[in-house]
Amino acid sequence: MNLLFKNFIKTPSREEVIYEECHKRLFYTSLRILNNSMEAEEIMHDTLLKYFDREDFDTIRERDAWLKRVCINLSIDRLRKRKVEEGMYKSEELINPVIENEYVENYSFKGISVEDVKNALNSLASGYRLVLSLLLFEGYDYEEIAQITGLKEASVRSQYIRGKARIVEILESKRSNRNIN
Amino acid sequence: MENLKDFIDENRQGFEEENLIPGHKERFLHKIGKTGHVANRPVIRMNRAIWAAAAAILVLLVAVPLVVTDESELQSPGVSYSQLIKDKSTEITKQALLLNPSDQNTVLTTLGQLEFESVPFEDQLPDSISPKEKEELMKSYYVPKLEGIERLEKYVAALTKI
Repeated sequence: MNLLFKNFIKTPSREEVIYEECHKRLFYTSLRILNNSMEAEEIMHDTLLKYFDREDFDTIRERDAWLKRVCINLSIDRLRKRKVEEGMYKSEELINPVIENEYVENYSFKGISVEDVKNALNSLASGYRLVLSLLLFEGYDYEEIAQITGLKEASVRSQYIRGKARIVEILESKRSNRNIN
Repeated sequence: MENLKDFIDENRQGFEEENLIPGHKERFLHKIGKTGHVANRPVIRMNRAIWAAAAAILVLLVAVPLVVTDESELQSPGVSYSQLIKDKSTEITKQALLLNPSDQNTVLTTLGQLEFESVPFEDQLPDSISPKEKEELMKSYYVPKLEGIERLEKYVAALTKI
């Protein structure tokens, strides 16, 4: 039987090799924005198809940065298409000044699980989730996110602060419920 | 102090554990084949000496399912996934109406995302594939959807009990 398998010489194509290298990263990036694994898979596929349509990069770093950016852009396009009324670009969010809350900043995550944070992130409105995801997971700063999303930098900052406050609110309520039970 | 950021950085791996939908790579290779990208498909070379062994295995693979037939499999081709999803969706929607507006909105949005299909998956499949392949693709597409809907159903049931 070993002889049988030894005689199979499988050479994966370039596409398959790159797929194996990059697909998970792209999937999770998109999933965090869209909160839907089927759509995230489609975006991951479309990103890679776009990549294979263009010329290769000189470095892996350049390639990965390009892939991440395209994946994010496609995910944002998909969000827009959904036309969810979650207030992604509501300007009224800027009416009230946003004050960074010390309680939120110093919130202790003791006893909080990854699953709790994941659920809290997923329950956010898509606009908040997008900004938080780009800042917390993808490592972009306010200015870069403003460029990517087409929002004003101040709006990005306000969405970030509000989103974070909402997360802490959700986590705290969960923690209180646990203590009651 | 960025506690949330620190928490995420420290537990980054835990945030990336969700399983991809089975068959994602095959679907990608299928798409890439359609767009004419695939340059070099996997090369398989075999020694003539093992042809007989390979043929024997092939015969076994083909013959065994004919002898040992799973009854549930006989029933599956008739399964209408869309109908199953529709039934469950109606039930969840009914239950969701008993929830508070915030939970109701979350449940209905999630449900909408789970059952959304701009073009039914079945209509996207090429005519050239065999019924068996079609069934497998349908299964790999709809089963995770159904699992998601079932999870949502349990979630709603838990909420309505509170």
